[in-house]
Order: sequence, then structure tokens, then C-alpha cells
Amino acid sequence: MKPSIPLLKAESLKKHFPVTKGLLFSRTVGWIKAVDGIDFEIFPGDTFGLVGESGCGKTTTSKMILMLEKKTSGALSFEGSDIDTLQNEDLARFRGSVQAVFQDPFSSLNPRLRVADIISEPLVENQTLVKSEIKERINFLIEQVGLPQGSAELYPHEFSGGQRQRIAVARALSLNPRLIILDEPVSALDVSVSAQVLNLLKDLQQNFGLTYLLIAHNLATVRYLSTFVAVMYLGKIMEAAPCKELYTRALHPYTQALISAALPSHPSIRRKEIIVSGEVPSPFNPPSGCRFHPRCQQAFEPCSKIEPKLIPISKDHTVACHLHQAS
Amino acid sequence: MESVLEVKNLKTYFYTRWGVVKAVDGVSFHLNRGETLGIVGESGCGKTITSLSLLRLVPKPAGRIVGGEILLEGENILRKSDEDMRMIRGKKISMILQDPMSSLNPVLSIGYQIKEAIRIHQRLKGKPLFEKAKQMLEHVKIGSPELRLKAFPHQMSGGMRQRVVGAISIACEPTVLIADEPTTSLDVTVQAQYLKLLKDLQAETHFSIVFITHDLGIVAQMCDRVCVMYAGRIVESAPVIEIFDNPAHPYTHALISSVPAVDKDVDRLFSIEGQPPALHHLPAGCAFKSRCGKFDHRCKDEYPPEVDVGPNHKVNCWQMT
Repeated sequence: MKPSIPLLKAESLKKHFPVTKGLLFSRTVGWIKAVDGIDFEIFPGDTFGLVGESGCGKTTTSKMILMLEKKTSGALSFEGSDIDTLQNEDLARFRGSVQAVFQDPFSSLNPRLRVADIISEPLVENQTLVKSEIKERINFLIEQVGLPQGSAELYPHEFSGGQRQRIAVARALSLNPRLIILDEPVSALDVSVSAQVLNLLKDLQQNFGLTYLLIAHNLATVRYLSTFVAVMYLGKIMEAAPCKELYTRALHPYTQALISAALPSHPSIRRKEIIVSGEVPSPFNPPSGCRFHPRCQQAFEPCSKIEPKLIPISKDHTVACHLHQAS
Repeated sequence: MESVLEVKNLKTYFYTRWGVVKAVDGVSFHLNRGETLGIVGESGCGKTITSLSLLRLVPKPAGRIVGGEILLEGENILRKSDEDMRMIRGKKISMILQDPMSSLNPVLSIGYQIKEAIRIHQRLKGKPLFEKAKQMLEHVKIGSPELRLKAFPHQMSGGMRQRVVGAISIACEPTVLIADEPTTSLDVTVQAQYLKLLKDLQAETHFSIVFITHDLGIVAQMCDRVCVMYAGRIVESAPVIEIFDNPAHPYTHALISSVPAVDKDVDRLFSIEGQPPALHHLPAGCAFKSRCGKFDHRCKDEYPPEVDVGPNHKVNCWQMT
């Protein structure tokens, strides 16, 4: 029962970074194709998980959505309207509806601001609230994210990593956003603390009807939070499916390898060992054809020549692999 | 089974402005030949200081090993002179650190760094030295080793660098290899390759591994036995299956049930409130009491004694006494 209009839609989204040589008269000698034509839709209320190894373009994707990075080509539309065409108030509203929580809460919070100022900065900028309303809102948010009373007057360094991540979440929530981008939200945290933050994110999603875009390299975290998962490799989506389907019926050899490489939750679990050789190649000069073919055990003739298209296998399950092109 | 390393009541303290930080406070464990022992805990629990103590590399002057014994094949290495210790490091005990970018010297070639350990401990020279270094790179499955010996760390990827570190640390066939979070900086697929490599090498040469990690998945995959550390002490130790099936300490239980799983659906993670206590003023009694759901008056005043709850399964918790 999905609503028909996606909250966020990306169509052949691309980001190429120029590689330049020379200091004064620098010329472009090549392009790093960080994101090379990806399509996806995020529906309201979902958690869209984007997984992949480092350098696959998942963070660049999030930066383009946040408009921190200008896209090279392609289109992004939010609630049906192209974000390039947004202006003035509409643009401001868009920026307010898309917020982010970053990986490292030690560098994403301004050390010179008190917690109250960190949380209220977006409010002061974007909304016409009077002082007392802002104060009320700060206290409400502090309570929602489970920070102790009286936190508002403290500075970030007085908090532990988990609590700082809660501050970052409170700031992201301050403008009542529709979509929150979670870029590796718990990878800098300890085990017991990351469980607290993951549970908090789950609760907040229910209470506020939020939509998440979760970016992570840890497949277990993604499985815990996501409803829909896309696997990226070198700037391309290799496979996308509803969470449960992806983890139980992965079709792409890369997805299978990723899942098999993830660590077991119990010592007696012995799974099929698919060890992929080598490491992720540089996006400066990606392999021809299917980008995964040099590391793929099931690669055959067309893999090195023709790039497989992302095609639907069943409802909602798409895969880009020559093994599944015919069906 | 023959035990190669025995640590008895090890205490490593740091003397700081803010008071004495008891980073390792009475840790005892043993390691059998060919075995992999996992030491798990969250950051600040003292697992890294434990591993540095085993090599006597505790940061000076603040840190000092103030008590206990470390018996390596029966000899107490805490009594060794610095000169003797140099001959032990790299030869009998060696270590793989977390970040290969900072554990390799950026201005020396890979070849030089591998040869260094072999030259010092095995006194090889010239051609045999070169051959041995080449062989070590082949051992850790690095392609075209002859070329790679001339390369510098920055020319290699993270996974390869960590393999080089591995090659250096097993070059002199140590009895004990300490792996301190060796795969945290690696990608998932590369991590899988590296763990498999460590296992293969261990099967070939039968060294013992002390695996320091915060990741219970690594423990499940790699270890035979596990020690769980909390606030400078080992709170539970048991064979790996036993730890996962019957965790006796509330902290162990909480740790295991607070990790999301990749191989099954978890509806809601268990989470322990709060965070580990600061080590410079630890409360009296059990350090976990403020986060524990089951504490009573005994936990408040006195540290719980070690009790046996099964074969090779020991726990420090009043609930089990």
C-alpha cells in the first residue's frame, strides 16, 4: 500500500568530479564518476537504505540531495517538484524539510555554541517564532531525543558521543522535516550506545512520521532500520529491493558477496563463503562493462563489454546483472 | 592444552592530573597454543592497554604496569630488561594495529620495513634476506611481491597495507600475535578477506592470537574463547559458543542483544542506558551496577568474586554467586 507520489525521486542522477593538472593554467585531465546515473524513489514513511563500500558514491548522493554538492546532470524531485526550479520561499521550505545527521558528532557540532543554540539555529533562521516559543521547542526536542534536563545550557564537549549524536538528531528535527538523511549515524559510536541511538531513530520515525535515507556500510544496521535497500558499487546501483527480500533473496553476485562478508551474529552460523578478491577499483577509471566484473566469480563473456541495465525482476526488486537480464 | 601466555592479576595504571586511572585493574587470562582468544569491550574498557601491556609498550611516563605477572612460555616478561624485551617483541610476541597508515613508516619502502624485523631477529643478510621478505609477501597473498617490495605504503590500498603489517608481524614466526582491531579501517569485503587470511596463516604456523575487538561479529567468526572487559576488568570469560548461548553477566547479555544482525530480523534492539563509567573515579562495588537491571545491596559495596558457572566459564557477578 504505497502512496503513489514518492517523497524524493532521483532520475539518472550524476556527479562527476574533474581531475585537474597544473597550477596556474589547470586543465581537466579526467573525471571521477562518483555517482554515475542512479535512479531511485523514496516513499513517505519508508527508510531507504543505501549500502556500499567506501568510494561507491553513497555520501555524494546524499550531498546532492542536501544541495551541498551541485549535480552534474539528472534530476531530483521532492514531492513531485524538481528541486532545480525551486526559488526563494519554496527553496527555503525544501531545505527545511530535508535535514541531515552526520557520522561524526565530534566534528558536526559547533564547539562554541551551546546545545540550545545548536538546536535553535535552524529555527531562528527559518521560522517566525518568538523567543518563548523557541525555548519551548528546544525543551520539547531535548526531551524527545532523551537528553537530560538542563542540557540546553551546556556545550557539546560536555557530552559523550552518543549524547552528541542525540543533539545532532534534535537539531535535525527542529524544523519538522519530512526527510532526514542519516549518513553513517552510528558508525562512530560504541556498541551499547549505538543500540540506544538506533532505537531512538526508530521511535522518532514512528512518532513524527519521518522518512529516512540511511547511508551505511554496515549491513546489519541497514537491515535493522530499513524498509527498502539499494546496493551501490562504484557510482551505480547494482540491486534494489525491499529489505527482507534483499537479505533473503539477493540476486546480484555483489550483494551476495557483501552479505556473505558481513559477520555472523552467532558463532555456530556458518554461511556460504563468497570471498571476492581484490578491492574496489578507483572510480577514476572504472572497469568496462559491468563495474563489478573483475571481482565477480560468475562473470562471463558479456560482463566485460556491455554494461547491464537495472531491470525489474519482480515487483520492487531490480537488479543490474547479466545473469538476470534474460528473465 | 599447553598454555603459551598467562596473565595474572595484571594492573596498569595511569597517573594523571585528575587522579589515578585504573585502565587495567587485575586482569587474568591464559592463552593456549594455536588458540584465538577474543578480548571484547567498548572503548575505554582497557582492552588496548591490556594488549600494550603484553608488549610492555604502555605510554610513559603516565602509564605504568604496577602489578601482576605476564608469563610468556613460563617466563615473566615484566622482569626482563629493556634490551631483552626488544628481542621478544616481533619475535615471540608481535602486534597488528588498527590503522595501517599510521603503523607503517611512510618514508621507508615496504621491503625495508619487512626486512627490518627479519634482519634483527633472524640475522639474515643479502639474498636470503630478500628471499625471505619476498616469501612473506607471498604468504599474505600480495601479487607480484618483487615489485611490491620496492613500493611505499601510500602506493597501496588499505587492505594491502594491512597485509604488509601482517607479513611483518608473522615474519619471525611469533608464538603470540596480538591483533588490535586490525580490520576496523577496512571495507566489508576486504575485512572478510583479511580475517580469512589470518585464519589460514594460523592454521599453517599455529601461532596463538589475542584478538582485541569491539565487534561481536568478529568474535563469533574468529575466536575460540572470549573475555569480556568492562571498566578495566574481565567480567566474564568462556568458550565462544557458551558466551553467545548462555551469557552469565548482565553486561555480556546486553552487549550481545544490542547488536543488529545481518542474518536475521530483529524487531527491537536491547539497549543499556547510560555509558561506561569514567575510569578515574570508579564507584565502589561492581562498575556495571548503575546500568544493570538486576543490582542489589551486594553490588553496591563490594566487587563480585569470580565464580565458575560452567566448564571454562567464569563470571564476576553477585547474581551468580
